[in-house]
Amino acid sequence: MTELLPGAVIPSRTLSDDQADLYVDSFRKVLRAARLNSHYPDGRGLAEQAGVFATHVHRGLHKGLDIDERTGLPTYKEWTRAQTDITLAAQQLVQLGSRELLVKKAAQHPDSAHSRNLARYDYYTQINGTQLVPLGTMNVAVRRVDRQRQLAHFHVVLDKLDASGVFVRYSIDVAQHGESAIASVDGRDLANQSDNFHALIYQFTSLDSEFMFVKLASMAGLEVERVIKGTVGPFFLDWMQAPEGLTVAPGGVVGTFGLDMAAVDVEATRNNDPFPSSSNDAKTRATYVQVANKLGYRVFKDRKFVCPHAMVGDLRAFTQSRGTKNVVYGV
Amino acid sequence: MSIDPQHALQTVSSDAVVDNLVTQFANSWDCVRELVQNCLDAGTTRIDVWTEYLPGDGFEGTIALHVDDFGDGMDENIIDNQLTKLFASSKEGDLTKIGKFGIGFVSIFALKPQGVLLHTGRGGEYWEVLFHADRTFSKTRLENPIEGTQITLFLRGDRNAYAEAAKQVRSTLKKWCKYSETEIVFEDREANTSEVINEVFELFGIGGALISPEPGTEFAIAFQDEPEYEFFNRGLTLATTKIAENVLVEARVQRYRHIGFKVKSRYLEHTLSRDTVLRDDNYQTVMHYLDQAAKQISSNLVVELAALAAKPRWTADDLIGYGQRLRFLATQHDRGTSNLKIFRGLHGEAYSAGDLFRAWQADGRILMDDVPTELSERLTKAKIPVIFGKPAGDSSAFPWYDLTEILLGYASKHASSTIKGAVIDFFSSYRERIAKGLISPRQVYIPVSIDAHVPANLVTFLKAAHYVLCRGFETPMAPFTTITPLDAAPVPIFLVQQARMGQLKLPPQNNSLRQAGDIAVNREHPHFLLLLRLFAVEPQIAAYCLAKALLLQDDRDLAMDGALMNAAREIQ
Repeated sequence: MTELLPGAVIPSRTLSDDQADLYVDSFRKVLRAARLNSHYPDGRGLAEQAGVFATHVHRGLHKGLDIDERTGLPTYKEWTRAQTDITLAAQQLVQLGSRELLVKKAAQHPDSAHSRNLARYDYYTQINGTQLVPLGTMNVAVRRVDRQRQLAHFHVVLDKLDASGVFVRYSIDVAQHGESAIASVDGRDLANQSDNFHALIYQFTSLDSEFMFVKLASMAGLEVERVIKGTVGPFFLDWMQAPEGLTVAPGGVVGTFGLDMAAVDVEATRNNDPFPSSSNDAKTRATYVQVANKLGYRVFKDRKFVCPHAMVGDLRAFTQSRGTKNVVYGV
Repeated sequence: MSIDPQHALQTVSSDAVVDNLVTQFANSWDCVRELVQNCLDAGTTRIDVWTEYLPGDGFEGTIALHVDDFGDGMDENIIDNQLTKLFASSKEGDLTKIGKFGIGFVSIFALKPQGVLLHTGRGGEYWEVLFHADRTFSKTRLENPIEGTQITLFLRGDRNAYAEAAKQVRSTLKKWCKYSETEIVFEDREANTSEVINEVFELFGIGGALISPEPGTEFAIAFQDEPEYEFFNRGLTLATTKIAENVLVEARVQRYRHIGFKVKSRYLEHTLSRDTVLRDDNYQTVMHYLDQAAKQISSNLVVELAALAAKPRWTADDLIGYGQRLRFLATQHDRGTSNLKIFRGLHGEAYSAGDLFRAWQADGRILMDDVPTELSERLTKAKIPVIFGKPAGDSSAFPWYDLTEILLGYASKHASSTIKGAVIDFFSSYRERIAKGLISPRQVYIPVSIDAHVPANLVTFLKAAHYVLCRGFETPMAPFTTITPLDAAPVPIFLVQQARMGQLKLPPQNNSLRQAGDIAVNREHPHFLLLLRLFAVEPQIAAYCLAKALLLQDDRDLAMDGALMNAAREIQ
């Protein structure tokens, strides 16, 4: 079990070094095969940073790898630890001094702190400059500006390691009338995002795209075009509790990548996600339908899978059993 | 599965317009770039371009060109109202997209495909669209999910044509897409080769730097002998040329003669014909950033020069690098503005442009040599700069031209605040004078023997000439000394001495001898010996002539002739 915050215990399992290496290798292959587009968290960055968890990289400086049992992904603590190491790598290298000297000292005293310092030197050298995965950042880009109508179209991207343990990217296309609900636009068409908008978006990241759409549309001066929520995770490992009907082959990893879209340009409301989403009662659902009709958006939910080649057939059968047809990539 | 009846590509204009759009690019294969551009705008993070050969019954088979992305994909509405409708782009004016006009896709028909098959999916709708050779198309709803858009062009051809097609596809990707921010993989399945098209966005050259003045705009910029100017939007090539005039306004052309750059910016757009970059207000914003980037690498150059100048020992690479940097700095309009010590002295010291300009103002010369000598060491100790280099006249003269330009830049900056300075600057009279003043110490300092005392037989004569000068100019001057040349080489009749040096040198040009220091007379000079004999019979004329000889050598103050004659008459 991992304690993220005092009192907030995350169910986790610690993989041994060997298991961790196998996991990291599978994790990276799955991400590569997933062909994540810009609506998902940055798959390449995730794969690169996950490389830091491999024992041949950290050289035994860290013991094991904690996996969040809810999501099959490394825990928040592991990601932040890797980020801290990457961020401090350059500084640590300066402090450790010359490798030549460390090699000499380590050879003279093989079991001393010098050997550990040499391992640290090589570790920091290897991870220095590794791309950092955003654990909570938001970018606002101007798409176009109509100064006569005081209308600015923005593309907002929020990346976050969600409290639920999965990586989330929200992509929001929204038009703003008048002044800075979302951001102000300077003379060079650069967006300066407002603190209120930033706080609002963060507040609702665990909720689905439809809720976010409605919430934003209720803000004065905003016209929402699209809200897309892409997720990396959960991943299912053979020892994890998988959804009923899905059996993960021994040693296998099944990666799932959800896409939840509420947009005015979606042709029809469809749910192609075989996993159950947060359910609303009938009354709330009816209210949502009314709001959707009024605002003109429709909702599409989807999920794609990456699994070992041998499991592709089983996984397709699983999705069909749930009444969906999903993209399944074998790896 | 449902099949729609056949449609045709729609446009508000005639078929002739469509024909023109189909053949809008000089090279038919450029349509591959358009497909890649559409993939990028769809938000894919990977594009797979691959070719395969499908053998036919006879000699010819089918060449299949695939372009697959995993981006947004298309639903029926987009297929009907954007993909197959020309000039119906939803991307126009969108700074986050590259495409603008809605005419790129149609260019695939320039390759005269037998058919084009498109699979795409979006929002739970999955479609197959088949375009025929006559540009009509039919679309079919599919049941199985498709991610993104996969396009396949089918072309008729034999294996040779296939090999040429694969070559053209690859070179098109390399030409237009190598700096794409999205990974592009090209696979020739017949040759069984696969490669990532993307290259690192960088530029080799002197003082090279990657500069990102704001999100969405990045420069790779460096000093180069033969610069290239390249413009990109999200890594796709908009324009690339070695001719500055093609992409820069006249005012910038000169400045960028030796600065190459690559710029990728969300602000930049191509023209409708894709042959150059659009010069609109957004282009001006990029040019503003470009000037800032150029200024930055110019400053970097000065810092690098200062570091090299201060380096105790030089390698051959240092020498070459120093020369290159100085040469590039000389081409910059702000070349003389730095106070850093960028010029290397022969004995480990370094000097700024200001130091050298002041030395030139004081003496009309800047000493320069490529080999340290005892003389240069003595000069250095006496705080007289001797900088590393070869003066003009030598076939390998270095870096006198660059130094001249840099000092001229310094002079311009420091002179332009006055009317006189501005006039001097306008006529660039400094350039010639500074260039002439760069000279080897061996050409200035003469090996002589200085007499401890003026020989007795010369005292009266020299005193008489000295009197004529002092009286004529009404200015006190130090008494003349005498010297004997040590070399066989001719030595002028007069040399000058600087109090701190104990070393004699040629009189400076354009600088009054009266202010140049103590004057020494070459007592073995034929003209002096002649005047000495004359002094015995005509002392007044001889004294006048010796004084006059000094002025003739100096070639100035001729208007003072009368005063000198009057002074000579006073000699008894």
